[in-house]
Amino acid sequence: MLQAGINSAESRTTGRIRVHIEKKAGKDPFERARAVFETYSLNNSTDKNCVLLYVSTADRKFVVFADDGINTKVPEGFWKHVSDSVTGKLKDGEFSIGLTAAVNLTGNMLAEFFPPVSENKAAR
Amino acid sequence: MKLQMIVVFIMSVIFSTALFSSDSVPYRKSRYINDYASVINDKNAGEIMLLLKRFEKRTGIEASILTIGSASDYTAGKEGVDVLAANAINEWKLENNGILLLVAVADRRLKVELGQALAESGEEKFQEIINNVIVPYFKAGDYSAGIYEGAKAMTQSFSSHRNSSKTQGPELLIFILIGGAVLLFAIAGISFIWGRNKTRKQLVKQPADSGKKGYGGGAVGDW
Repeated sequence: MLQAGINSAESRTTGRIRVHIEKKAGKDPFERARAVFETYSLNNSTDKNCVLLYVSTADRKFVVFADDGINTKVPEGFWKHVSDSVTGKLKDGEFSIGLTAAVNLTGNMLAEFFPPVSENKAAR
Repeated sequence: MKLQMIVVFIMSVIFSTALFSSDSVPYRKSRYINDYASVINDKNAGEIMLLLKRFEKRTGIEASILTIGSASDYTAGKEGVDVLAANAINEWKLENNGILLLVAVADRRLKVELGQALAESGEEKFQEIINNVIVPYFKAGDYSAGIYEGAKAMTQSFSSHRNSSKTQGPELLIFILIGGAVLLFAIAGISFIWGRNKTRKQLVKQPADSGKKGYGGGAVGDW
């Protein structure tokens, strides 16, 4: 379900979404998410439009980490909204539903600002 | 003496908790949507944020949506939704060029509070949007769609707003243009002088810095 969600979201954008789930996040979950972001080489995209959804199961932390390209475009408070929406579901133990919802939300934003290349060409 | 101190301490603790147990107006934790009643669905929330961000960029009007259970949960709302909205628009610094859409779900009340810049021109337009767009959805129980469609109608209805503030005359525009150009040259000059000393160092430093801390953004949450 989650993979299908990511595939469908990514088909609408040149942006990329990755989900990373691990046990411990360490002291600073945000910095940990940034490190994971770099491990996957997500920081090397040309449009800086990759997003990582990070979950630490032992520390019960969720981080949405977005590269500059998309981060500067989304409305203020959007990532907080994604985070609130996911953690609401995680509280109920609904990992799959929560993360799929986050993928969809993020995918919609990416599609808005980074449509697929073919669509770009058509627009010109 | 010691006893007195303890009594004073306990009193102050009791007093302060009583004071903070209910807020005057809801806390503005997010710029565009504060959905304390949890009535706006994910999809609409994303769309509304985008709408309002673009609207703000285009017109300079900062619109914010607030949903709550009942106005009486807040001290400023004891006298009703209208008083709460009037207080909140000030507290949230929207009183000049802003719009606050307040929905009190349990009270079945909706209030749109307009900042001073819009108070005259906007009231009629908004009454129309409320009656024809928002209320029908609310009556059907679909708050999320009502707020989204209302926000959409608002952004369309007020899209010409910036033009009205532009009519202040071409003098202002020219002044801004010249001022901007002068400032730009000044900054360029300074950075050129500054840059001559620094370019070499920066060139060496940059590769090491890039890809390290300081880029990207997002949010962290617990559960």
